[in-house]
Amino acid sequence: MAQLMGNVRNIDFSGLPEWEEVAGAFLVFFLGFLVLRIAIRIVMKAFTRGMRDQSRELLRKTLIYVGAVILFVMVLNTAGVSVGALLGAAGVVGIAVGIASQASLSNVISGFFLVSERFLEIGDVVRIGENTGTIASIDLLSVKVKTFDNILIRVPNQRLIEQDIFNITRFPLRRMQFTVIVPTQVPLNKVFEALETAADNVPDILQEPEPFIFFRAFTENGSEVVVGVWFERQNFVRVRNDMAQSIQAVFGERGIPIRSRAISVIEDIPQKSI
Amino acid sequence: MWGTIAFEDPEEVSFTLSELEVRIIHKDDSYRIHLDGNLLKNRVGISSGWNEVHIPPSSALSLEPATPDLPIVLRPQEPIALAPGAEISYRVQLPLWVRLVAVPGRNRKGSERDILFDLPAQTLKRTWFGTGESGEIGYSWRFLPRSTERYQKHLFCVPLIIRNSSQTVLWFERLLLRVIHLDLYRVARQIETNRVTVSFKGSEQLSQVTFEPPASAAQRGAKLLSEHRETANQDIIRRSFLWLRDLTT
Repeated sequence: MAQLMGNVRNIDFSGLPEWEEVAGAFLVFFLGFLVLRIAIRIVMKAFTRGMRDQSRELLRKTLIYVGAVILFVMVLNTAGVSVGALLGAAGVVGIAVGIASQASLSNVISGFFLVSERFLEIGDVVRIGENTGTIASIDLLSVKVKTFDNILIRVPNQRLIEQDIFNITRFPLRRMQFTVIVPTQVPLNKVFEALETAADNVPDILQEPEPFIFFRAFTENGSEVVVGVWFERQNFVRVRNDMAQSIQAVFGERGIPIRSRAISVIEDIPQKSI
Repeated sequence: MWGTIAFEDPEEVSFTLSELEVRIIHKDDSYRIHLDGNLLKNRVGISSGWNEVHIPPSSALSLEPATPDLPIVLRPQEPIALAPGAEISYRVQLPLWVRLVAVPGRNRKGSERDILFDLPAQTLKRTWFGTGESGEIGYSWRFLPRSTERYQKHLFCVPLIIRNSSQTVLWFERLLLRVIHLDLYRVARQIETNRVTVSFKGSEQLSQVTFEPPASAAQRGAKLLSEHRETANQDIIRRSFLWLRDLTT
């Protein structure tokens, strides 16, 4: 015990900052923190008008990180800690961390390419692999996608850059196709006219670009006719439902039967006696 | 039919304007509004059937005509060619929108009017004016340039002048008419808007659009019925014409 007390007495406290320096460092930290917050707010208000969501987010994060580093150095300086020695140590630690976190670094670099490519924006509806959802955030390491059944998916940037991404809502307009099968005996011009009327009866289907109708094939189920209609991207579900109802109604009125691909088995085939 | 609604005994008012059918019953301090028709499908706020509305006792209900809430893409029945320097004037008839507004009484602070509904009198088909990547959504409207003007309660008239100020022939197939910038006036029996002059400038199909009060406003005692939905600059240079090839490329 006496030996331990002796060791404690022998510790040299002269290298540690004085209490005035510690207090100064605290003051610099709080003031700097306040100034940084206000500065970020001013910059964001002044320069981000008309900017895309993710560019705004990227600028905000960059300002936070750069500001935090500057503040950290200022606090250390005020506390009397030698920044030069610390930076040297940080370099060595940085190399070690860098080697250990290669995957994260590759995600960061992929994220940079992803943002600079401007293919994705926050709020876009995308299909990535089997998942479809809305881009919730584009971060340094990953992109978060919120699916329509309210599940948040985190996709690492590196994986994202290697696969096909379908941006469904990039353009203001979308096209939807409906395939109708009718008995082969029904004249095709009647079918075309009925489909035109059905499309015309749905106000959300755009007049221009005009709906297009084409005959696909005579199949064992009947004649296959395709109608493609254009609509504003946000009206997807409404147009799908309204157009299906409209086709049913118009075909019903005109007595044109709609067939499914199901195979019907006819039972009353006359049996031959062997 | 426009203006403050006067409820007398029985305290019920009903009217039909083309496809829009409205019935309003005033009872104590509330109003029951019944709306009919497909026009209400997919609209936010008021719905078809009965709706109950409460407004401050000092306020009154007023019915106002309005222009459509989106630009109109005008398509003549047949393409029209305008040689350089030529000018044509039309009186285009378009369907009205109807607004039910709660107008504040004198005792209420501020002059904010609350719009209870803002509906078209007729179903309008939506259309796109532009390319696949960019453009504007509007309502499609075909018109017969040479047809005689026929007064109909649910239509308003836009005096339109198209001038070809370019050096090339203008094939006029579609014209984007930004009706949201137009005021509505009562001129005799008809509802009329400001006079619109579209001057075609040629390159990139840009045109100069000017809005002026109806030429006949002073002589015919035009009365302002409702103001524009959105303010526009007096002279705006906008893309107003679209040719068929733009849609196909």
